[in-house]
Amino acid sequence: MKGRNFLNTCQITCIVISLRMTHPFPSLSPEQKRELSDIAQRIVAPGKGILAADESTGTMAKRLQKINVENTEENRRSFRDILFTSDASFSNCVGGIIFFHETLYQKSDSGKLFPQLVKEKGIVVGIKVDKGTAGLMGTDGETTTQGLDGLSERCAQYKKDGCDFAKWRCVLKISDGCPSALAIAENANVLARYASICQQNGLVPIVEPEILPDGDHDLQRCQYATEKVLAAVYKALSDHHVYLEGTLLKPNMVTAGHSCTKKYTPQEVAMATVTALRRTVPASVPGICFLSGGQSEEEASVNLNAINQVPLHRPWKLTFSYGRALQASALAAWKGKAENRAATQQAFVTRAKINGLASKGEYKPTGAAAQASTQSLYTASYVY
Amino acid sequence: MTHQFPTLSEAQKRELHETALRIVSPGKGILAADESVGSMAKRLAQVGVENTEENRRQYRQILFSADDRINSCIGGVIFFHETLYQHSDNGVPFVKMIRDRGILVGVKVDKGVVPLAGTCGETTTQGLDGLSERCAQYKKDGAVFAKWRCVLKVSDVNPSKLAITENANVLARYSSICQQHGIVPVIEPEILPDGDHDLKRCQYVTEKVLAAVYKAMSDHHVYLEGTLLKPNMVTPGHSCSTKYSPEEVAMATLTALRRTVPPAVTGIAFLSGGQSEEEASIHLNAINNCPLPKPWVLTFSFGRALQASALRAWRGHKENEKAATEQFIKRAEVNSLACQGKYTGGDNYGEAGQRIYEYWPT
Repeated sequence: MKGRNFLNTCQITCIVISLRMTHPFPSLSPEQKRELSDIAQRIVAPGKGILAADESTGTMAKRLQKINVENTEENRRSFRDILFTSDASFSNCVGGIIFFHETLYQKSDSGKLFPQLVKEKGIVVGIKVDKGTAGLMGTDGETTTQGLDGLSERCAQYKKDGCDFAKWRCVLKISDGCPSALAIAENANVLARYASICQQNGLVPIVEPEILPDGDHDLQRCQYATEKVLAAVYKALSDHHVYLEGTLLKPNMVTAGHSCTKKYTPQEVAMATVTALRRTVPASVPGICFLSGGQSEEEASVNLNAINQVPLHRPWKLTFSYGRALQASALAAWKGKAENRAATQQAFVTRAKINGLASKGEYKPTGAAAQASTQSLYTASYVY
Repeated sequence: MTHQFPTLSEAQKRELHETALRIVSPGKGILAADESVGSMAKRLAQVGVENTEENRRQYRQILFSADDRINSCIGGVIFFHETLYQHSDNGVPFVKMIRDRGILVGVKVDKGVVPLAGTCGETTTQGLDGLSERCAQYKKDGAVFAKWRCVLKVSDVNPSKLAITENANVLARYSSICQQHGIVPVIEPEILPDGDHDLKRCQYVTEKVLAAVYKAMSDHHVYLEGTLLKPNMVTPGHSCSTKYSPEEVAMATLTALRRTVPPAVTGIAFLSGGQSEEEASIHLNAINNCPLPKPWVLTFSFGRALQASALRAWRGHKENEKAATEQFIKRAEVNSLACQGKYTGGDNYGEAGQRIYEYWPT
């Protein structure tokens, strides 16, 4: 009889434990939370945003091909070196730089490792940790993103090597049947898993659920899809016990599809964007750093500026995490030639400062933008 | 699933949003006078008054005949169905009395809790049947907002996943139906203070519950700018041995809300639960003074915490009516200050002056 009661007690205890979902088990200590929160605040300090310099080797191939430069490791190193050694003033506008793995272990001409160089300027070092998209069977060409295997160990190593934040990009698209319920749920879940693992290792996760601008849908459609996607993302983050104050969001702005015939003003884009975010992103998220997608440098700055002037209460920082929209002019000026170093840096610093102003709603465009700035940087079905 | 089918027109959205804003205008909150017949039985029993329709009418009249001092303190009154069709001694409909002073009329539309089989004493809330038609009628009869209360509790096994999702879903269905009829839904996912759990546990549960509520709102295409939230404050359980300061309650409450309630929600009007009148006011005040940024209005939707003294003063005697009304006005004025963070009085408030909000690392 005694043994039986004991067994029953065990079974009951097991059931009780499995029913429990509302006991907080410690995920992060107060010190860990404080560290994550401080890092996030530093990245999105007033007037600052992120330089996304994490183009993969394959993506750099496309960039360099456009300026007829060979895609060698040295050329990639050289270009990043030029950017990172720009005039110190750019650290007033750039709070964080996202690295690609290769770049994290490269050195400046001076022999200093890039992470160290960047940190000495007071800029936080970040690292792209996803391993690209993978197809979701049974969908209309939709994807999830891989990279969770061994992610914890990789994060621990990146932290040792100087990183304090990470980035993971998921991709969704708009079409008749997309984004599907599966794509939304699966990408939200994988972003939450990634975020949870990062935080365990002292890295602030930048959560990037990019909705591509491909298609002829209008602004309202994009807003609707963005609201659904972001609602799912934040529910997943809650389910996975992610500490929101120690995260950043990197979403698309709400824009019409690239083939949409109707044109919208920056103010309309801004209003749709801020409305969507207000409906989905909790105030405890310290900052939202927009991706530039296919926008030109000038477009991305003007839109960011308009976003920061929207007359609705915006409880998070609204800033940039730009790749192409910070580097296009610099690349065009460089052309792979050492003698163009100063011009390259000047082009980069100019865009950095403009976006710094835009992140405060203080950018006043003069109207005469450089050609490279206004060129659309859109490429169909953008893939890293 | 990502085609937007029209839910509300621009005009409908504007109407809902403006109504919500008016209810929670600066310095204003909600008088929850929607006690059901059963709840009124308990209230009246405490002061030795028989639970008749006439007594209920007389009692509400005490509240509604408050003078103009409450016009700047009360943005909306939640009615019970019966009260919506009652009149003052002079034959003036209560609805008219309230509306004429610029206060908005709301109505409780749920039909009480029912058990969820297979759970440990958990419930969902019924009332969806014919709700659309009822809302249309209430709108005609003068109501511009509604309230629906769901109940969750904290214990070793609660709230369960089922209770959280089921209650979130029914709140979203209710909200969706209300908005179709130009009625602003007040969304109430009350987590009871029964139990010995600590502040942290309540915060954790509140975060999980509210995350589910707003996901359900999104799934049901509810227009958030045209809603109000009526949550519990984050407090320890009644039998918890640890005592917490108002600042700790405020910090835990605001942290939970900032992590879950989208900024687009127009206002948050706290329920008072089992708190005393003074406790509720002091907590509301502390919440409004908490140094964390607050993207929504934070005000009150109090039942007992506005009426307890009035009820006690009345005790069913006509000669006490004026005194009772005065008690209600006093609490309304105190809470009007509290929802602006300007309440400095109070018996148990201790020293005046700055309160210290320590960083709450949760």
